[in-house]
Amino acid sequence: MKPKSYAILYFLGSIMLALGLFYLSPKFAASPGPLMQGHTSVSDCQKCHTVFKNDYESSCISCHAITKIGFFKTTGEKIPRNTKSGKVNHQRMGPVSCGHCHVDHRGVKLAPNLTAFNHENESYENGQKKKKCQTCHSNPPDTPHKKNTTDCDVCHSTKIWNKPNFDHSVKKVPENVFIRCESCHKSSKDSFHKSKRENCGDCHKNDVWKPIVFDHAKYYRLDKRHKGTCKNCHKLGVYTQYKCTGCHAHSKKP
Amino acid sequence: MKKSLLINSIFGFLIQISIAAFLIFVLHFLKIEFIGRYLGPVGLLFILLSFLYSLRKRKIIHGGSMKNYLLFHEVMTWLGALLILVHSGIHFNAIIPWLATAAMLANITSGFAGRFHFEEASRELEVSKKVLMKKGLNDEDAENKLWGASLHAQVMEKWHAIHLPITSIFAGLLVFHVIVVLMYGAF
Repeated sequence: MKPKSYAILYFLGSIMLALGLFYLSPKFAASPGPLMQGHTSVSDCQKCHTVFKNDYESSCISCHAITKIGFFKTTGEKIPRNTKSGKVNHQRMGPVSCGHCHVDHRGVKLAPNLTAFNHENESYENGQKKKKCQTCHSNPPDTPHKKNTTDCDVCHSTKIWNKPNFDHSVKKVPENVFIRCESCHKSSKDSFHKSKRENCGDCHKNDVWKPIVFDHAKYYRLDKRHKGTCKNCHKLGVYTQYKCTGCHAHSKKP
Repeated sequence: MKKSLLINSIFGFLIQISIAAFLIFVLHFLKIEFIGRYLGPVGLLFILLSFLYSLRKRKIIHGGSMKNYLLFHEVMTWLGALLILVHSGIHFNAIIPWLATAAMLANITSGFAGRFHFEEASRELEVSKKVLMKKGLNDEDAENKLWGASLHAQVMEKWHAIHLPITSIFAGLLVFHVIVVLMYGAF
């Protein structure tokens, strides 16, 4: 037999093998990862997938009716009002694809930019911003978030949520929220920061919190005769106090 | 010389596996492993392009030296396989893609073995050819006379009988995997 012929035979044989495996167990043969908890009992791929059609939404909605999400389980059982998972209010959302937020087959994620939630929808931009944001984003229990009860968009934008871009210009800051730097920035627990609770601006700047920019010459010029370590002058590690006697002993001579 | 070529082949294979493992680690560490999904089709494209060599060898296309086409085949399959290894990303889920990956690894190994024997056969022929040409034979006659006598040339013929079926098995499993992906809209 010519090499070409047996190459075709091997090609067809491997396809037959794959078909056989797929026929015996589609999950074992082709599933790209385990299904999410609520779907583990689903064994038929066609339950959610339409062959050669990338149309999940109609399959999702066939079980998860939008009007019932958050209120009733797919079994018809009522979801108690205080249940966390029932709080997301899908009814107020615009016409967005389920796949923007939910991904089945754990471990298989599409590129974020392909699945990014469409915040441009009118209902997310107009009025009651805080309330709308909290439909999906939980309010962290830290200091700045506890105090800020109004506008999320002081720091966050609909483009980037996780990297807050805070504008320090006072006009934008709601009153009684960001009185001091420590409202948002945790003070380090080292001896220096413990001893100095005010004037953060001496070292830190509004546009860059780290690295610090400290002008030592403003307080004491470190000329060529004073090039020792910090502890030469700041004996106890308390940088608001200094002693000259570490190097210069008191004597009667001038 | 022989030993160094064999070591080069093994080294090439190990480098490929190491680079793939490193890229997989980086993608997972940066939590951008989704990129791996899209490297599969790119790797497949590279491998498909590498078959220009086979077309040239079978005289379906013309022009360009065989040596360059072989080099192109080697580089493109090496890169394509690397991208597909990153695409598989050490996630043991479905068995068919993994069988395809295993067939691809066997194919790479076989490719490196083929490269080793081809280089050795060429070297042997070159030395013996010079001897025969000194005796008055022309270039083509000398090559024809010597090809059967070279041990590596004999191995090369047997190697073809192994490399081609492995490629066919890999192609079959890959085609099935691509069809399943297109069928279930996982793109």
